[in-house]
Amino acid sequence: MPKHSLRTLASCVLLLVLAGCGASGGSYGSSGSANSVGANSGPKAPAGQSGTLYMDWTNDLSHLDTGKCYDTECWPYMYAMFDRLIDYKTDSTNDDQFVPDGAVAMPTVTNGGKTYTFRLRRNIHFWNGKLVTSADWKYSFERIINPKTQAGAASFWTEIVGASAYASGKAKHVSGIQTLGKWGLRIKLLNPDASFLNVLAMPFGSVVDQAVVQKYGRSYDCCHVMGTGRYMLKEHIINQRMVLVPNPHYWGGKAATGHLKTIEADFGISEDTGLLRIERGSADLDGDGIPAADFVSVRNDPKWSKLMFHYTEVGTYYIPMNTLMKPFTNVLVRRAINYAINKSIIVRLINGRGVVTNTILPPSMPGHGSFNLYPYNPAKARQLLKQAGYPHGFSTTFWTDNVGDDSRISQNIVQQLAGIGVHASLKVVNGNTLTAAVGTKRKVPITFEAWFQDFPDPNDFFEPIFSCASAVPGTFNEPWYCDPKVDRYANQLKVMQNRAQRLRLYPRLDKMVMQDAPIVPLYNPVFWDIHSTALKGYLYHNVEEWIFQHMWKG
Amino acid sequence: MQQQVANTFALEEMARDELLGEPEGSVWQRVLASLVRDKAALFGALIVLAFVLVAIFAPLLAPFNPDTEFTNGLSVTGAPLAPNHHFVLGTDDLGRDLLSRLLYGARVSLIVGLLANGLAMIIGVTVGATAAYAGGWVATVLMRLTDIMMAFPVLLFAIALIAITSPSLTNIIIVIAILYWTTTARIIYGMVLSLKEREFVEAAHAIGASGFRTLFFYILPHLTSVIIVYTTLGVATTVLVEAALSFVGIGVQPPTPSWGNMINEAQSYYRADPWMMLFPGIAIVLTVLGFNLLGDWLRDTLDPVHSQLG
Repeated sequence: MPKHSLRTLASCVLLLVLAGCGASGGSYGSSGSANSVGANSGPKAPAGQSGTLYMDWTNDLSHLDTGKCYDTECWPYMYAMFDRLIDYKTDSTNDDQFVPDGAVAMPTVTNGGKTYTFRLRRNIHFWNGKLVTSADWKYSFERIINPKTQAGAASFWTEIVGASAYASGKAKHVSGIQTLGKWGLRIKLLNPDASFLNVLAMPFGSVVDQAVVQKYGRSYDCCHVMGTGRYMLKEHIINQRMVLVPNPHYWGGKAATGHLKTIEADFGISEDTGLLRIERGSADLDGDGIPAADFVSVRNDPKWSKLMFHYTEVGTYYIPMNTLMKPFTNVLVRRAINYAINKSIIVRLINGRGVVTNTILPPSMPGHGSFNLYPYNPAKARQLLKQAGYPHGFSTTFWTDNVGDDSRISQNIVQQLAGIGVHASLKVVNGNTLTAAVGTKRKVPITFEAWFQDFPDPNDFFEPIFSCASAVPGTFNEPWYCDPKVDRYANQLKVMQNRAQRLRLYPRLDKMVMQDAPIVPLYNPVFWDIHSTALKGYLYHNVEEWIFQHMWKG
Repeated sequence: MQQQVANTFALEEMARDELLGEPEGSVWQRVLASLVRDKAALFGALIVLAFVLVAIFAPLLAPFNPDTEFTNGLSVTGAPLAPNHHFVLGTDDLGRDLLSRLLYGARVSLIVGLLANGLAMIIGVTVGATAAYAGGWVATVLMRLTDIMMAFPVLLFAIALIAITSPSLTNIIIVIAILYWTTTARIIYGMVLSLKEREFVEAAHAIGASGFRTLFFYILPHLTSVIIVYTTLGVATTVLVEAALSFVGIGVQPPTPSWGNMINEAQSYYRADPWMMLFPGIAIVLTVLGFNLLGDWLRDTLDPVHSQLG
């Protein structure tokens, strides 16, 4: 998924550590030390529910609708408010195992991995009291495939039988999603898909109430979402705050809704103010991370350093170039931009909180392979520009957002581009504005972005951001990249049954895309988080992010 | 008839000299002597002179290009550098020389101060003078428009206008001019109301001068001193407004340095690296102080009634 701010998915869970991802920061406890995995072993959680967890953000959430939320800011709240057929185990082991959620048990998989059959729970209710049945699940999944929803992860669902016909309007329903009475659901795929359970476990796979969605239309997203999860939406005042409270009718019972009485997200709070609020006890977490200005001093502070955590993230920061907008339609120009960027300077700007990369896949993602097609060489960059017909460079607009270090890093990139004659004027906009803009065809020529794993499968770094199916309005395929040859190869890898062979071939796909150079990979981030002294039970999951039900105020 | 008008003016001047006593020396000598005597005004004038010279000669005075991000401009942990022998005022969060950015930032302030203020003056004088001279429904409409514009919270209105257009130096100049003509309009309105009853205006009408000619060639020259004073005082205001707009991120856009956006970029670093905010802040304070002191002195000097009463 894309970043929304400096806050991103953490990664490097135990699974990835075992896979040799080289994570140095797979710690989730308050000690912040490497290799200690798990929540605080300290005070015990209180009985009952009390206290409010305050979390600060620079910008409001982009979406509350599970059909649209696809960034690291809204992500944890989707897991808090909605249920999916299956979920990740969210305890301190953090080993990415699945557990049944809306389904009674894990699915029965038959037909060579192409058919998934679920038995559904009979005691799940929406917050409005309506009982959830198989029809609701079918509607929820078809909604993701419906192009009108503009779901960012819709491309993951196109492998379902009948999805294409439904999406193109030739069918009223997706034939591959079948209700088996009120309490059964069957999903048929065109081909086996090793990551399909991961897809179902994404927030897009949450069950929603059709009547409520249709009743509220556009305002459903901001203000009238209807879920079934541990927490329910109490209020959302746009650009001010959002408040969640435990769902008293949660199917898992009161114990499963944790120890917090309220979870409040406050918006319009800069990182600097957020850190001050944490230090003063007015806030518990800052979703946008620790500001670069204070990072060194906080890290060296004996009191606060104990409340810091760092994770080597399964993500990549990069510069996407819109392949539909001149001059970035020319591959020579895109390669020139690749040669022009000194990435180590950028990592230095963020206090070393990152590792330079030249590939799309992060080192900690299975299927990663190292190569460097475009080592830093400004002379070569100028030569390529000349070859492309731009001997004196060109002018363009570099879009960025106002969150965290993005503007600073973008200024540095603009400066580096000026060194090869590319005069980019910087356009700084709100994070949500940038998200909407990059999803609009031919609007953003070049920008600064990031992608983080939705799940630990390398297809996650290609299908949503480089496939032809993802180059649609609302996309996160910021380069609007579409190469049918690359697409065919990516699809071949996706359905390959032999996992070891599959993973060995992903570096070739990575290289194929990078030869087209739709992006400039910059660095893989190391995320540093900090929490208040009052917050206990801090737990961060590599996919679901903050696990609120594990936390309490002490 | 024209000779009679000229004679009227000469008579007026003779009467004034008889009343006030004929001063010694040329006008400029008298002005300079007055400036030297007033230490505060002299201080202000020197600051303004320094500001203008720095703005004009910034490329010669600045040790580095203000946009260059030096790799040795950051510590090994990526933090800005404190003032040192190489970077006299230190560096910012991107490793750029603060002194160079400060000097170039004066250019933005000067450009905005002069152009925005000048444009505001033109609008204000036109509106105020026209309203006062025309009278009737024209005056009512124009002065009510002035009142409405004055009722808006200026900074919020500026933010809204910039949000509709887009942040750029040109738009900042236009927005500031649109919002700051009102005070001038009211002052000019009052003065023209009084002046248009004077005999020389009657004489101008008598010789057949049109309304436009009377207003702009006979009345407005008498307001030159007032316009100069309020233009000078207005520069201070526009420098502050530009800094405020840049501080909230909708003024001059990076990487172009302006004192306001330098403070904006520095606000995260106020604890760890306070010099990033200190120097542009001092620059703004000194510049505003200089223009205010100079403006006060000009008002005292060029307004004959006020200066004699003093």
